Parts: sequence; structure tokens; C-alpha cells
Amino acid sequence: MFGKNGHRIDAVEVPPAMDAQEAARVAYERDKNLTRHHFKKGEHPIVRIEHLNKTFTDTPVLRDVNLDVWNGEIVVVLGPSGSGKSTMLRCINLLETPTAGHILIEDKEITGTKKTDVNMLRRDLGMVFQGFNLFPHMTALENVMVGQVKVLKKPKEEARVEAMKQLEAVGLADRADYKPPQLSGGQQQRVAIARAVAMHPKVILFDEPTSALDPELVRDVLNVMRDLALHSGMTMIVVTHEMGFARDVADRVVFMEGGVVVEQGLPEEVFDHPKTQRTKEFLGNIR
Amino acid sequence: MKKNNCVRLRRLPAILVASIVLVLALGISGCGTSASGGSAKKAESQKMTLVHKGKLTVVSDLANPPFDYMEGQTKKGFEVELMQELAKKMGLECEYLNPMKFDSIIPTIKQGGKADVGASNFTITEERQKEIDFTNAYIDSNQGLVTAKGAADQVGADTKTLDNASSTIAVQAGTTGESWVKENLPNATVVALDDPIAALSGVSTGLYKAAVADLPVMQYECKNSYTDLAVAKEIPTGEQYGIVVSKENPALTKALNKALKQCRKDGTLSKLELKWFGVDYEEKSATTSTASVSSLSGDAGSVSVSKATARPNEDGGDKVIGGINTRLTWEATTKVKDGVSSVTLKLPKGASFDGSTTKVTVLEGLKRVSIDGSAKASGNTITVKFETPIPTGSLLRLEITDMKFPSEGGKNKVTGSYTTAAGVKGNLPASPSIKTSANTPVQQIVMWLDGQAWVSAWNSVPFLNMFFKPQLLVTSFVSLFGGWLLCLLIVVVAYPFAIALGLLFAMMRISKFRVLRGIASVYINILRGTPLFLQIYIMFFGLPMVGINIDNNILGIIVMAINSSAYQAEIYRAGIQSIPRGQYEAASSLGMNGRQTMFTVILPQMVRRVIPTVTSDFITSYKDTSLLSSVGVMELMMFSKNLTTVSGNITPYMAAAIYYLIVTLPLIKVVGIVEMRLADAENGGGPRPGGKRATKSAEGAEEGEKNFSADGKASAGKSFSALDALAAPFRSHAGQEA
Repeated sequence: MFGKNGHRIDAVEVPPAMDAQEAARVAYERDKNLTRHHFKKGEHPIVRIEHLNKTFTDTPVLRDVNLDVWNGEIVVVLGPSGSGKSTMLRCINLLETPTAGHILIEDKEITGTKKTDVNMLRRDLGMVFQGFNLFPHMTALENVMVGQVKVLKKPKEEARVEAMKQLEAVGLADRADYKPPQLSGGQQQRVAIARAVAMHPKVILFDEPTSALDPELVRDVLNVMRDLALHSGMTMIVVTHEMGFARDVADRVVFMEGGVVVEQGLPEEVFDHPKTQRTKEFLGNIR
Repeated sequence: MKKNNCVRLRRLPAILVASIVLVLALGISGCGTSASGGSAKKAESQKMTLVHKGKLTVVSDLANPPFDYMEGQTKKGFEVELMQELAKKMGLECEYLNPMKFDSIIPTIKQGGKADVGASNFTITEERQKEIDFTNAYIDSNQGLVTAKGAADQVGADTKTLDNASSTIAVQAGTTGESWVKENLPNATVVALDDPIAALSGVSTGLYKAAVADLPVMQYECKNSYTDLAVAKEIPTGEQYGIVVSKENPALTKALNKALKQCRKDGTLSKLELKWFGVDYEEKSATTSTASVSSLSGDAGSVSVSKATARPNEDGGDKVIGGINTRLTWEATTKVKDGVSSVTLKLPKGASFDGSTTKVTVLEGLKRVSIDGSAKASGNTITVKFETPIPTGSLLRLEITDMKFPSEGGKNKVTGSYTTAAGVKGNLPASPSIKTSANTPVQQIVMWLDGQAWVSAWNSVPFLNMFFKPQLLVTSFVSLFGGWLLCLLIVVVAYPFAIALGLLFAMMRISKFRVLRGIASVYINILRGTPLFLQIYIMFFGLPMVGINIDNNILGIIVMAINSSAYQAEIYRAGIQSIPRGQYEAASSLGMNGRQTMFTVILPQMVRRVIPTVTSDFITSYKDTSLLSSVGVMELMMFSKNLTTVSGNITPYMAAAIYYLIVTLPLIKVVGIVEMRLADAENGGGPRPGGKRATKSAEGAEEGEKNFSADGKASAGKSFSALDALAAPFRSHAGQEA
């Protein structure tokens, strides 16, 4: 309905998705030294990206991206503009349709799913946008309630209690009846986080959540995210340019460039001993 | 915001003052010219003035074949050739202006400056003679009632079969035909149109039951074009057509009369009549005056009274009010061998014929016999003596102008007596009763205004008199009220349908199904790509043709709803597409499906955005109801048009303007306020935590939003909203690529 289809599918040769057990084993072998995540025995990745390719008309944006995210893990994706990190994030909840490759949530393939199933799937994948995308005609409270009521079919009262709880968590209980245009950017983003969290998704995707904010407002948002990372136990995939946040909070840092995962590892490894020249340059420029 | 308002309010009186100064300036200049014209008239009373030197400029509606009509680019007809002949006789060149609407011809001549004379089957009437001068008659005529061929016999046998509310009868606005229908078929629905051809089209398609207009025109059309119609009844009115000349230009009237006489003498008129009507009317009228009175039998014979009516004298209304001047029309057929030499009419006590003037019309069949009479009035009786006795079997009509009915109102019957040429007296049977009313408040106001010195001073300024005549303004307000309500009703009833249809087609337009998209764009493009006027004509004349007969007002509502829905579909589509993509993504990421997204996220925002544009569209639709007058919906313009044709004054249109503004001005104000609020909301106005004003709120993602509000401000009318709609797809594409 919203005219998002119509991209030309390039013939990219991709092997079929790996068997779940096998994939979990391979992923564990690859990731066990790259993350602070505490693996449990026989654990499977919650998000698995295999051979992901995405092409916009003629421009390849993602080229054979492979990434596994474990339950409760905080993954921060870094990289210069145009490296494809946002596109990868948007592929995970199918806001972009992958050109080729596999995305699995809890071992369930989501690429090529039907529209109704996509809606079901997205309940489990919260998203926080760079531009907040709050619904401007609703109050902060209503913004946080609407998904619970409409999608999860919760009774209004229950949804209100949950919404107030989440607004409190982001420090905006006193702004519940404000409409988005009456809130500062930082406050809007915190409401947006509350809105995503209130759905209790399995994974929250953050798409450059602080890039549109004035510097003095960034801290509040990062504090909320840090809080969430430390206390909620929710899986988070964060695309950001905030190095400090990545270093402090991330279980793993992924560095992307040119549509490819160039390097990934523990934050201190990537920041202090970058393996590739490109990562060194990027981090050098940032600092 | 408040400050702005103050500034605006303060500016308002300034505008008012400026406009008053302007009006005064115009009025004074008008006054000046009229004064100088008056003095000049005395000095050179023999000289006629012409708009263009050496040219006789004629204005006509050119819609009355075979009198005057257009064939392609050439102007043809009896009248056209007559005017050329007259001009030739006067040593002038004859030049016809482009056709003008019938109701605007008399005001045009009255105002002067555009045309010298009007020639368009103008029946000589007293009402018109108050506004302009007529030349002598150039042809006698009657009215014809036209129906479909199948119904002609029945209607011809008894025209009263049409005297009910379900019969719509089309007439030409401001013609004698219209007055005839109003006087004789008071219960029928009268639809006043601009030209007789439209009336015939309507009868032909079944939209109207019958049409009444000039008999020669009707006969010509039924023979040549509308062969499915027939003249059901020839209505003997004995009217005469004259050429309209300004009262300021008596020399021209004189010259025209002289030329007309010459034409009659040298046979030009007969020649033209033969050419265009196949009949030489002149010959007939020559033979009439020999009403031979051979031997007097002394038999009283009988006189049957067929009609007695009074002209409605309620300004702008249709009531006959007692105690003020009106015109009594009395008709009888004489069956008196010796001929009737005098008639005495008697009205109930309280009526007065004092100071009245009487017009005598005698018709043998449809032929006018010229018989003069002299009237003597005394209180509630009037005696008319005829120069020559009225031959037996003829229709006698007495039109007594400036008479009064008893002021208390009630039912009045005309009785009286007659005298035969042999001196035998007979009694007249009582006429059908004429219903009159006591004075109405409106009429009292008008009469009060008539007596005010300032009113006469005001009216002595031609401009003010023509556009803002106080008496007419009062009566216009009263009589336009019904039309105004109908306008409001039409647009208010049509609008919810227009909104629903508009939303439906907007949804179809952005649907993923190609067929639905196709249907919607055909619908929208056809309706937006053709004039509303045309759509009205097609619907009003087309639907009855395929057997769908709907009440005119309901049809009007349907046309307005359909037309507006196309514009609204585009407004809504643009509104929907102006919602930033991020809103869809945010809704999707919460797991909402398409329907939930549309109804909880997109539409509520869209509605807020389109309110100003939709209100503008509402204003346009409201004004556009005026076009419905062309097919006879009795709305505001229709009433004012009728009043203007009767009064020859523009004031009713001014009253209509005020009625339109009563609705549009507040709405325009509302649009302004809503737009300001919207702009404020989108720039992050309103209460702000800690008094900080985050001007950059929602930057970037809300690019499309800002665009729209900017456009919204500019969109005062339909053209802008259309542009807006056209621009929307490009904007949304840009948004998607970003």
C-alpha cells in the first residue's frame, strides 16, 4: 500500500540459510571472543543475519553482511555515513526489503514473509528513529499507549499504567500530557524510547537516536539508553556515532564500511587496537 | 498572535473609510455627469447622442430565432435586419454588440456608454417604461406555451392542469411570459432561465413540463429545431415589441420612431415579416379597424369574464397588497352583436381607481385590434368608453394601472356592467376573486423609506440608486432570504457526501490496485478538468433523458457533491501524501497494520492539515451554487436575477453579495485562525517546559510537514489547492529518496 516495493532484485547467489544448530555453533565460535556477552550453553542468536545484500536501484548498499546478535546483548554499530549501517538495521524489521540473504529472528526466517506476519514480527522488534517520528497529534502518553492498545489489544487502563511507568523510566512522567511539538528534541526522543519499550519487544533497534539532537540534549537520551542497557536486559542494536556510549555500554562494537562488516569485537579491542587501517582512520577522524 | 489581530482590527476602519471615500467619489462624479447631462439636454434637446459617432450600436441577447440569433459568427433575424434598415434610414451604420444576457440589456441601456439601443423582443410594459423609453411598437406578438407533443392536447384544452407545484414551467427571466405564468398558474413552479432555447432544451429532455415564451420564437423553434415539442396553447397577450432607448436620449427615440414609420410606409416592414414569418402582420392590422356596425339589434348579448388578476405589488414578493398601487388586469370575451361601447368595472368598497390609467387591448383571436378608449374613474368604479364598439367574439382586456385594492385585504371580485352600441345595458358576471393582503411590515418599511428626504437625496445619485437603492435593498433582503437558505441547504447537505466521496476516491487514488487507481484518476480528472457549469447542464438535461427524474434541488445537491468530491479527493490525497514517511515507519515498527496506521496515525494528522484547504473549497462550493440558477434551481442568484430583471436595478445583486459574504467572511477568518494555529503547532508553539523554545524540534524528518504548511497558507482558493495537490507526488518522492 505504501509503495515501498518495486526494487529490482539482483541475482545475488546466496546459499540457503544454515541449519539452526549448526548456525548457532558457528556463530558461537566466531563471536565468543568478540563480545562481553555471557554465553549460555547451547544458546542460539536472537537475530541472525546471513549473507544480507541490499541494492537500491543500481547501487549496492549492503554486500554479504553476516552478523549474529545474542539475547540481551548490546551491539553498537559504527561506521561512516553511507556505510550501510542504518540500512542493515532497517532490514532487520523489514522497513527495507532485503535484496538477497537471510534474516532470522529466533531461528525463524523473516525474509519473504507475508505482510500480516510482518506486522506480527514487528511487535517483537522495537525501533527508535533518528527523527523520533512521534505521532504529533497525540500526547506523549497516548504515543506510548497507542501501540499497546491497537496492536497488543491491551485494555486502556492497563496500557496507561504501563505507559506512565515507561515515561517515568525516561524521566518524563510530568510531560505525559504534552504533545510532541511542545517537547524538546531530547524529550521527544525519550518518549520515542518509552514508546518502543512499552511494547516489550525482544530487540530494540536504535537508528542514530542522537544525531538530530542539540549536543546538550544528547546526554539525557544516552543516559536513558544506558539505563535501559544496564537494567532492562533487553537486546539492543544501536547505530550511532557516540563513541563514548559505545565504549561504556556496548558488549560488542561492529564497524561497517562500504556495505561490509569490516571489523567487530570488544569495544576496548576495536577502539584501542583497531585491526584494519580503515577502522584506525575512522576512529582517528572521530577523535 | 494577539498583536497581529490588533493590527488587523486597527487597519479595518481604514479600509472602510477608504472604500466609503471611493464610493462617494464615484457617486459625486456620477452626480456631476447627470447634472451636466440634464442641463445639456435642455440646450440641445434635438440632438441625439450615440456611443460611437455615425453608428447605431445595438445590444441583444441574440437568442430568439427568428427575431435575433447567431448562426455561427453572423447575427441573423428579423430584428437584426430591421435594425439595419432603421439605421440606414437614419443615415447610420448598424453595429451589433456581442450577445448579452437578456436581464442585463435594460440596465446596460440605462447606464449608457456601451450601446444606444436594445432590441431583443422587448415587450412594451409599464414596469420597463419606468426605467427606459420604448420606441413605437414594431411588431405585435403573443406568448406561446410549449409542451412535449404528447401532452400538448391535454394542456391546450386546460392550462390549469399545469397549475400545481409538481409542474415546473420554464420561462425567460423578466419576460411577459414569466408574468403570465405567475399570474395565471400561481401554483406551478416557475423556473426563470436566461434564454428561451435553454427552456426548450429542458422541456425536450423532460426536466421541465412546459415553457412559455414569445409565440413566434416558440413556433419557429418547434418547427425547425425542437420537433418533439409543440405549442400547446397560444396565449393571447396582445403585447407589442419595442426598441429600448435610454430616457436620457429622447431624440434617438424620436428618430427611431420616424425611421420605423418610414419602414412601415415603404413596405420594408411587410417585406421583412414576409421573409421571416411568412406572414405580413401589417396587412392584418390594417384591416382590423373596420369593425362594422351595421344594424343595431338592441340585444344585450352576453359577456363572459375569463380573468381578473392583480399584479403582485409587494416589493420583491408575490403578494397583492391592498392600499398601494397595483395593476388590475380584467379579461372578458364579448358576445354582443351590436358591440360593446362601454364597460364599467366595480370593486368592493375601499378600492380606488382614482388617478389610474387604463390600457385597452382588443384581440380577435390572436390578432390585435386597435381600439382606443377613455376611462373615467370615481372611487371604486371605473367606466371605460370605447371609440368604436368592440366587435362581438373578441377578447377585451383592460389593464388598469395605479389602482388600489381595499387596504384591509381579502377576496375581491370585479363586478359591473356594460353598454352595447345600441345603448342596452347588461350586467357583467362576477370575476374570479382576487386575493389581496393587508400591508406587510416590509412594505411599510419601504413606504417609510419612500417618504424620507435622505432616501430621495441618496437615490438622486445615479450610482447609489443603481447599486444601493435603500427600498430595493430592504425588499431584496427579504425576498432573497429563501434563496439564501436554499444555497446553504444545498452546500451543507452536499458537503458531507462530498467529504465521504472525496475520501473514498483519495484512498482509491493511492491504492495499490491499478484498476482502483485508474478509476479514481479518471473520475477526478474529468470532474476537475471540466467546468462545473457544463457538469450542471449535463446532469440536469442528461439525467431526465435517460429516464431519471429527480427533484431539481436534490439534483443540485448531487452535482455539487460530486464536483466538490473530486477537488477534495485531491486535497486528501495531497494531505495523506504530505504526512512524512517516518510516521508510517513508526506505526509499522509498532506492529500496526495498514488499516490501523491509516486510521490512527495518518488520517487524524491529514484532517488537521487539510482543514484550511477544505474550508476554502467549502467557500468555493458555496459560491458555486450560484451556477445552479442557470438551470432553474431557485437559489440566491436566481432570486436576485429575477428581481433585477423586474426592477432594472442592480441592487438585488448587491443584496445577494451581502448574503454570500455573511457566510464567506467568517469562514475566511476561520481559515486564517486555523492556519495560524497549525503553523504555530508545527513550529512548536504553545506551552513549553522551562520557557525554552526548541525551534529545531522535529527538524529534518518533518521537512514535508513544513512544506505543506507553507503551501497551506498560500492556498486561498481552489487553484492553489490544485497546485498543492499536483506538487504533492513530487514532494513525497523526494521524501522517499532522502
